[in-house]
Amino acid sequence: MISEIRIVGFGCHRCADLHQRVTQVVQSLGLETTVVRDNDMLSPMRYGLLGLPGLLIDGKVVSAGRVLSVEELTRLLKHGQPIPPR
Amino acid sequence: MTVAVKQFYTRAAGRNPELTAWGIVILAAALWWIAYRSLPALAAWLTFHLFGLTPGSHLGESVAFFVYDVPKILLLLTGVIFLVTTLRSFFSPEQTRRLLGGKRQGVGNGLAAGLGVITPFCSCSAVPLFIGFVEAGVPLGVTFSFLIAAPMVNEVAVIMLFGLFGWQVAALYMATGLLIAIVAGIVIGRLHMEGYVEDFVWQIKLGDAGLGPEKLTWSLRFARSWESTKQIVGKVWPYVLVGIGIGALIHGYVPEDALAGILGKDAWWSVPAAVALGVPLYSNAAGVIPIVSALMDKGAAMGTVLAFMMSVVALSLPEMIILRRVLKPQLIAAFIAVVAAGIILVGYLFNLVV
Repeated sequence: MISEIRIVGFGCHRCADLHQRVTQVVQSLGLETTVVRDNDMLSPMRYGLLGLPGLLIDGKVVSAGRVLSVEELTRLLKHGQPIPPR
Repeated sequence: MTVAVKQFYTRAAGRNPELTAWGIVILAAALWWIAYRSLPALAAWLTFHLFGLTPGSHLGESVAFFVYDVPKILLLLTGVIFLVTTLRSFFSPEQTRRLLGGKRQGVGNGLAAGLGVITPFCSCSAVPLFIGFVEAGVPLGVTFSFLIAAPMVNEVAVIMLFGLFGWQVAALYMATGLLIAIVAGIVIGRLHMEGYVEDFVWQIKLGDAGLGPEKLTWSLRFARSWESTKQIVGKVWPYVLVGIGIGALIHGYVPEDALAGILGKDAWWSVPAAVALGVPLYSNAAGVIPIVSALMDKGAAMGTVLAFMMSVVALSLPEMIILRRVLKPQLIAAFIAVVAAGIILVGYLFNLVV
């Protein structure tokens, strides 16, 4: 059970896109997860992000610098990994 | 028929997804090539046959320019961005940081500039990337080489230059862009302005995200590149339309050599003026270049307009404002001064040579 999904960014439109997609997927999967939008300037450094937006699930960095697609996010939140098993 | 195609695809993808992915990409490339090659004939037919305009007339020339260049640029953008994104998926900022950590000046600058072109980079990443690099022991000058090369030698700019001026200009732009990034980085390094980085940067202990380049299958790699391509082209195409529209008007309506006086080779002050004008402007390379092309058509010198373009793309006010969070004003000023000087030199060089 995922308790928190955090989107780290400075507020550019890519971060907004990711936030919107995450919220959409969380809703469609009916998850009781808190979605946090983190615009704190120090956060990217704290998490060691070299690209924005950063996506963290339960405090662990899952992606940096990419806006994941709705399919990837769905797979990620359902199975714990964005890449489909071979 | 579409049902049959879908069934074929699903069976093929089930049996061998990698081969299917490659098959689709190769087929798409072939279609792209055919479309690209038929463009001149198609544009001419559309303008002078279907619309019945007169060749040589103002309207005729403008429309021909527009009808030919819009699909051409869009095709080029789609094709090359897809290619570049796929290549870039083999690299990551974390890997670049490891490669650059502790490298000496000179070699480090060259490597950083090269990596700046290849590593995936978005302007919002500038600050975390800067901090991450500096914390990992990448020398300040080397980090700057990376930060200058990444936005300047951007694939959209190179594609547009190639599409409108040919490969020599595009290649020259890339080469001089890299050169400016390397030399500016070395100069900034020599200035030893580490003291002008905001103090908190040195105090923060950087977390480790633990990410690296992911192991991706080809089908996934292509799928992601296509997503990215759609995103970028989707964002950029209005600018392309407007830019080419303005370019088409200039092309058809402004008399030849009208601009030679103000922007031509002999107006020595036009290069620094162009650079000064470019700094506060923030635009997509996609929108600016068609205008640049039409201006050149009317007598503006190549070096002047390229200098303008470089300064719009590499010295953007929004990026400076973002960097202000980690750099003190003196360092930002030094950065702007060194890069602007480099661009001005390149502008003069182009004016002499081309």
